[in-house]
Amino acid sequence: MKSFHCEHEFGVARAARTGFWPDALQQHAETCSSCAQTRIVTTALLEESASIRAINRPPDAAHTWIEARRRMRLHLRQRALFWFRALRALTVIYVPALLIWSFAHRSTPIHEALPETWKPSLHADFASLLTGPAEMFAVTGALLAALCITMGSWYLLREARTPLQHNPSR
Amino acid sequence: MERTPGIVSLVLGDAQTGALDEVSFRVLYDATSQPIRAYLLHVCRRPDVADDLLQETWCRYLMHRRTDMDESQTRSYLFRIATNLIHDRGRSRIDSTVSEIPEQGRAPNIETRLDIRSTLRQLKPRERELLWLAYVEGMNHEEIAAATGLRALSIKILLFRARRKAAHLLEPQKRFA
Repeated sequence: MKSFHCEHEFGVARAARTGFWPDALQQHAETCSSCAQTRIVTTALLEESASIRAINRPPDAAHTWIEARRRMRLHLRQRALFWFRALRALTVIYVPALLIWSFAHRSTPIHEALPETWKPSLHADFASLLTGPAEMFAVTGALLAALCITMGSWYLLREARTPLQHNPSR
Repeated sequence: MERTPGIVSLVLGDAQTGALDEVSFRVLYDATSQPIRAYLLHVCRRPDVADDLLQETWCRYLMHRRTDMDESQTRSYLFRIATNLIHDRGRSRIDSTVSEIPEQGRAPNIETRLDIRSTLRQLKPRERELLWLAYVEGMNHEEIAAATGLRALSIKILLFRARRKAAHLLEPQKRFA
């Protein structure tokens, strides 16, 4: 089986980086073709690395920090918008449903429109009309709306806690 | 080159309890951005692209970082993001032309450096990545696997081929230098 890797390969590369060559490793690198190649390639890459690092400096950390914060705020705003869009979709479903339901019950007296078993709980106010099948529908809508508002607000609060300004001394 | 100093570990240790603040970020950035930028520049060969990719690397790190990563994992993670960005850019074929890294140094061995650079350009981007991570960044096979998304077993043979190819390209220069 052909050997692809000499166990001293990384030791040779480390020695080339640091400039510290133990005698045994030096002798091994002269006799092992794999390590000789490693030495040649590492030396060339280190020259390339030195020339790159000498003339090119990375951009200032503050620019990257502010850009990352800006993106984070945008990301949080999009998350918040998702929940508020869901709330809008709920509204689109629930408002027509409520209108249809209201008009349907307005044409006939309420005590006639409802089944016999519901009559004892009937009151004149609007909320008490949400009984039977309408009750589950209304409660589900209210819970979903509360969930959307809570999640959307939570993301907006997180966005507010992600200031954009550069404040390195904080 | 060698591993970044222990202050990065302290910064990451503090950051595990909460969000990374700007001072901690600056310490981490100063310790690791130079090697990442050199890697990006070596592989993609354009300073403007390298700067863009470096910024994108840090933005993605800050948005998706896990708080339980130690110094070594953070380093591998940053190189992984940078490698993925290089590949994404390669796939989108944004850079139709290859421009040189500007040579502004006044060192006496400038011709040798240009020779080395043109020789290394003959390697494929994946080969340049592997060689750089192994021999300049000093990563072992597992760390290279984590940084490139390749399997650790594949690294051994890919690195062997890349090293053999690079050595054959570089050897004539060494002989006549």
